[in-house]
Amino acid sequence: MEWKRVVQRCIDGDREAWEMLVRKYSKRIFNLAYQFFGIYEEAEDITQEIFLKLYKCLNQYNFEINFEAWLIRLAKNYCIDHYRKIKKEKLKRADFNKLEYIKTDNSNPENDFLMKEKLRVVFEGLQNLNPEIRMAILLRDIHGMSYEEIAQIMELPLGTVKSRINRGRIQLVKNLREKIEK
Amino acid sequence: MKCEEFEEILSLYIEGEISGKIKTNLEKHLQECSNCKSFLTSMLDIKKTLSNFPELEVSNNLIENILRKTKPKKGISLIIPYLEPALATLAALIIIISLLIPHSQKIYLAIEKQIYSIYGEIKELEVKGESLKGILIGYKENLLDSFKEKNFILFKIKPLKEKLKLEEKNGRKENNSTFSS
Repeated sequence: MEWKRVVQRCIDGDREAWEMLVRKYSKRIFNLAYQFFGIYEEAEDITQEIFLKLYKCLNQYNFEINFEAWLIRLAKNYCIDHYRKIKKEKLKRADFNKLEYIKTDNSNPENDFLMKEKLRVVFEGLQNLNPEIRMAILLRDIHGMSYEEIAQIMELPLGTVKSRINRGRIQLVKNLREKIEK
Repeated sequence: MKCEEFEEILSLYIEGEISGKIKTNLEKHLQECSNCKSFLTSMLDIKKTLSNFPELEVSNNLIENILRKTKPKKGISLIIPYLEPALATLAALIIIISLLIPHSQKIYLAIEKQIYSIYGEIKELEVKGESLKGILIGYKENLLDSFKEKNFILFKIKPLKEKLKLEEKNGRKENNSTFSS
């Protein structure tokens, strides 16, 4: 489906097109917010805010650029700004462990436990990263985006993106090793 | 090359971004250094864990909330929200004007009445001004008369003072001649 056409219909006030757009992209945005913040309820609130923002600024969309990349850039900016606002409060709460929402494919309970435990450790490691590095890692390793796409979303040179992802991965390994040693 | 330097390029290595002599050196180092090999294994493991990160489903409640909160107001399309204040002002102006049009004759009469009332007040002031002018002329004449009278008195007093001074002077002279004789 040509999503740019759907976007144009949304701008023209087509309610059906807007609903289609929300249903298509809400899962992606919600997951990105959840992976970034680690709190289910917060991810829901943030997804809602991102879509309200999208609704207000949809007419500013430049049809020459990829819509999905534009939307993810909007979401990325919102997540990082929001994270900076609530940073102190979040550090106090430190409750990013609601992995009960995640369902693994393992039918074996032991493997399921190990998988969840591994996810929890990696997830906690992610939360300790600088927000820009964390976002770059999420886009690359979870969302499988190319370095070029990430550079476009992050509004950074390609070399900087590669270097940030590299630093992030090294930091994650070091965090994981520290956890194991403890 | 030191282990830290190898660490720095491991991420690029697993992405297949390294080639040539650097790649050969790194692979050689990995065969010899258990620490770097273990580091690489951990990095691959983390990458795999992240790539298998399960996607959560979005609740219908969230979608419904988004749709409810972005429901456009009646008659205003999606593109318009940022123009809402301007449109609201315009609508208010149109309503006011349309309400005033049936009463335009009454408004005209009220304005005309007000103009006549102001005109009457001005005429009244003009009449008062005229009478005040007559009074002031009367005062002026009285004032001139009183000035003339005062001038007359002054005219009389001044020569008298001079005469007295002259007499006084003469008197002194006479006294002096008496003493000297």
